Amino acid sequence: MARWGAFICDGAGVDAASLAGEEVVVTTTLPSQPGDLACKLVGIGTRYNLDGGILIGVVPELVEDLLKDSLRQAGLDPFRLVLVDLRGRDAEGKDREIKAAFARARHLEPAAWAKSEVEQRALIIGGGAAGLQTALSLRQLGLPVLIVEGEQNLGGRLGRLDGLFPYDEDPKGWIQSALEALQDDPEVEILTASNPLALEGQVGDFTLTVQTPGGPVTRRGGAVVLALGSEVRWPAESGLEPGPRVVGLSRLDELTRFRLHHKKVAFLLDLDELGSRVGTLSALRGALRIKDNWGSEVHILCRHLKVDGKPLESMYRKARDMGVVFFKYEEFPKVTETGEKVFLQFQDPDLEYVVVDEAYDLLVVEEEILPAGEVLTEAWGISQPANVRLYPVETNRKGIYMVGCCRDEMDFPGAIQDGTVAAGEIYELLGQGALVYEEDMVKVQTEKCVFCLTCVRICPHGAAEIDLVQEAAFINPAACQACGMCAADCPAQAIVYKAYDNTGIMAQLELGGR
Amino acid sequence: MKASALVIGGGPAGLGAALELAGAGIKVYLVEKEAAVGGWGARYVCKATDKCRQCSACLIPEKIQEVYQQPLVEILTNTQVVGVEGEAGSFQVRLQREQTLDPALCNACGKCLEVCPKGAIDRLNPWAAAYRIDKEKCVAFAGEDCDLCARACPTGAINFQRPVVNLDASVELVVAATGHQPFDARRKYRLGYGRFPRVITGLELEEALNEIEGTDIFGDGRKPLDVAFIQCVGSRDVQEGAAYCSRVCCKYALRLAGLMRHREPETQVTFYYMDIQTGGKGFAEVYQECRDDFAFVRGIPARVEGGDRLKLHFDGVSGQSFATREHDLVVLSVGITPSPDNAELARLLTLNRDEHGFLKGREGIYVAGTAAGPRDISESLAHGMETAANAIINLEGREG
Repeated sequence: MARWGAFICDGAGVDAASLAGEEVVVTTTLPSQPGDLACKLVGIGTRYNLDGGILIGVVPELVEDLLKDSLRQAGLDPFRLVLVDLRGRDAEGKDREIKAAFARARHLEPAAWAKSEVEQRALIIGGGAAGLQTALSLRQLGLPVLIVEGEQNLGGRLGRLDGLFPYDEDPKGWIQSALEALQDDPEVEILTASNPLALEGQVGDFTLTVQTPGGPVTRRGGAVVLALGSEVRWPAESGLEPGPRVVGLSRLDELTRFRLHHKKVAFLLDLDELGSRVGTLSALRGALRIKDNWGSEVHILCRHLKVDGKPLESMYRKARDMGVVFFKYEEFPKVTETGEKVFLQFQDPDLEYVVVDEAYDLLVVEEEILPAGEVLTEAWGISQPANVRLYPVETNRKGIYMVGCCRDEMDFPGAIQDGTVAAGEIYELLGQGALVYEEDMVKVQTEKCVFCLTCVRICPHGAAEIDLVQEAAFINPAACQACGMCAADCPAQAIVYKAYDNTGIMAQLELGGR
Repeated sequence: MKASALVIGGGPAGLGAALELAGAGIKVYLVEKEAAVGGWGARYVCKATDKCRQCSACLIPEKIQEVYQQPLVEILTNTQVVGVEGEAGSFQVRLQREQTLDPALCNACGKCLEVCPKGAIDRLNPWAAAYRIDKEKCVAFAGEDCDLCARACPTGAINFQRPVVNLDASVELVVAATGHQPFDARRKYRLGYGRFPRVITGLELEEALNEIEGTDIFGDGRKPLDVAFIQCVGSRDVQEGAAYCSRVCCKYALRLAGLMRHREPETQVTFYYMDIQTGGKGFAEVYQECRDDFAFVRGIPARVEGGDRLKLHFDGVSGQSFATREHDLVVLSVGITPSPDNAELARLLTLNRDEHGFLKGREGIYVAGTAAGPRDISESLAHGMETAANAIINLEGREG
C-alpha cells in the first residue's frame, strides 16, 4: 500500500488529525522559512519512507518547487505530489478537494531523474561589444569559450566609433584590452573571417559547424550565445538620397575626423516616426563633436526627443547650453537640395506652427538600425518571443541566449549588461558540469506515435526531435520546458505529460475536485 | 561557491540579484524593511488588454515565489540594516528586526483587521502572505495603550512586548537594491494634487485598477470617461532637482490609458507631454497602436483648477495660447526620485551619490535597480542580475 504524507501550509485551516488514514502516515504543518522547510521535509521523508505527498494550502504553488526539491533530496519522488488549493472553499469544499486530490495521487507514477555531463564551453557567435563582454565574463567565471566573428577583426560596430560620449570609455581602447585578456588564453578560441553554417544538438551539448577561411570546422559547447549585432539601413522611404551634402549618422565619426568648414549643420531624426534612443544619443554626441571640431551652427530636428536614458537629458541640456538649437516637427520637413546647400522647410508646434525655412551646408540623417542575422535565427528556429519571462537574454531554446543589438536597440552599457547577464546565466547552467532533469516527464508512446511530426512543428522550445530508428517523435528531456503543448495537440494522443495524466485528472474531477 | 551576501531591498532588483547569487551557491540574506518583499512593482496592475502589453508586472509574484523557494535565500522582512563594517570580501553587518507581527505565525485570517479602530492593519501588496501593522496609523506605536489586535489574534502572531532582535552576519559582499521614491505630487501645488480628489497619481491609478474590475476607481458610480494624463511630473524638471527623464512614465501612462479604455471603451484619453519616449523593447508598437485612439497635446498645463469638472489651464500649447481644457480625471505621471533614505544609506555603506542623489557603488558594495537611477521592472530585474553576475565574477577573482 502506498504511503503518503500530507503537508499542510500555514493558514490552510485544515486539521491535521482529520487526515490520518491508512494511506496517510504523517501529517505536518510547514514552517515558513525555506531553509527550515527543506530540512524538515528531508527529515520526514527519510523517516517515514513516503511514496509521495499531498500539499494542502491556500496558495500551495508558493512552496511547490521547494517541496519537490526537498523530496528529491530525501530520495523521494518529487513528482508524486498533488497540490490542493483551498482558496475560497468552505469546510465541505475543503473536504471534497482533499479527497479528490488523494484519488488523483493514486494514479501518479514515480519520476526518474537523469543527470548528464555537459560541455562547459560557450559558443559565442559575434565578436562585437556584447559578444566580447560575454566571453570576458565567462572567462572570469572559469568557463571556456569560442568566439566566431564574420569580419577579419573583432570589435563589430564599436570598432568603427571614435568616441562613446559621455561614457569615459574609448572604444578602441576597450576592444584592445578585451583582446589582450582573451588572445593568449588557452581556454579561448577565436575564429575570425568565419561564419556559422549549422547548429545541432541541445542544451549541454551543441555542435556548431563554422565556415573558416581554411574550410569548415565543428566545435562542441554546452551553450550558444548569439551576439549578431545590428545593420544600418538608409531610410530610402524618406525620399532622401545620400550625397556630399546629405549623409547618414553612422558616417559622422569618419567625417568629423577631418576639419571641414561647414557653417551650418542640421540633424534630421525620427524618420520612421518612432526613432530610437540610440539615434538620439549618436546625434547628441555628433552635435557636440561638430561644435568642438568645426564650430558650426547646429540644429537638431526630431519628432520626440528621446531622453529616457541616464546621460541623455544631461547631454541634451549640455548641447543646448553650447548653442545647439532643437526643433520639433510633426509633418515631415520639405527637403530641397542645390549643389551648395540643403534647404529644410518645417513647422514646429512649440513655435506655434510658424513655417521655418533654413539652409544648411550638411544634413545628417538618422538611419534605421535593424537587428542583424535574422536569416540565421529564423533558420535555426531561435527567437526572443514577446515573453517578459525571457528578458533580458534568454530565448525560446534552453541554453541559447541572445545579447546586444540583435535582440534590441541598445547603447554600449546595454551591450555590456547583456554580456554580463548571459555569462551569469551560463555559469548557473553549466558551472557544475552536469545537467539534472527529469526523464520521461513528457513521453512519446512510440507504439501509438504515427510519426506525423505535429509535435516537432509546434514545440516552441525545439525540444521535439525525430527518432529515425524508432520512427517516432522524441521529446528531449533536457530541452523540454514542460509546457504541455505537444501532449495537448498530439492527434494520436501518443504523448503523455506525466504530472497531468488523463486517468488521474479524471479521478480527481469525478470527486468534485478542481 | 562558499560565500554569503547581504541584499538590501526586496524589490525587483533585489529579487533578481538574490536569485542570481543563490543560483551560484551563495547564501543570501535578503533584507526588506517593509513587511513583505516585492517593492513598488508588487503594487502595479497587469496592463494586458486583449493581449500582453509586456509591462512585466507579472514577473514580481513569480520572482517572489522563486525567492521563497530558494533555500539559500533567507528572507528577513521588517528588518533594517543598522551597521556595516569591514571591506570587500569580509563585511560584518548588523541587522535589526522589528517583530511585533511575526509573519511566520500570521495566517492572514483577518481577525486583527476587524478589531483595529484605526484601520492600521493591511496587506502591503496582493502577494504578501502576512498582514502588516502600519506604524504611522497604529496608536500603540504612538505610545497609547491599545492591544486589541494582539488579543484578537488566534495564533499569537501579534505581540507588542516582543523585543526588537539584533542579528549579526558576516558576508563577502553587499548589494544595495534599496529602490526609489515616487515623486511627491504635492510639490506641484498648481497641478492640484491633494487639493482636488479627482487629481490622482499614476501610482494611485495602478493600485485602484488592481483592486477593481472596471474603471469606477472612486467607487461613486462616476466612471471617469474623459481622462487627462499629465506627463513629466517631477521629471526633466531642474527646479525640482530632477534634470533627468524617469524613463518609466510614458510607458506606464500609455499602458494604463490603454487598460482603462479596454475596460471601458467609452473612455476618452488626452496626453499632455513634452516628448513621448518610445524606446524599450515592444513599446514602440504600444505607442503606434494607441496613437490614433488618444489625443496627444504637446505642452504641460500650468495649473489645474477644481470644480464640477477639472479645468486645465495652459500658458501656450500647440499654437493655442492661454487655452483651457476640461477633463473629469487628471492623472499625474509622477517620476522616479532618489529614496529619502539614500543619505543615510550612503553614510552607513560609505557610498557616494550622483548629481541627482542616486547611489553609486564601490568595491564589494554594489548598487542595483532604481537605487542607482530610473529603471522599469524588467530593467531593474536585469540590472539586479548584472550586478550579481559582476559580484560573482569579482568573488571568483578573489578566490582564484
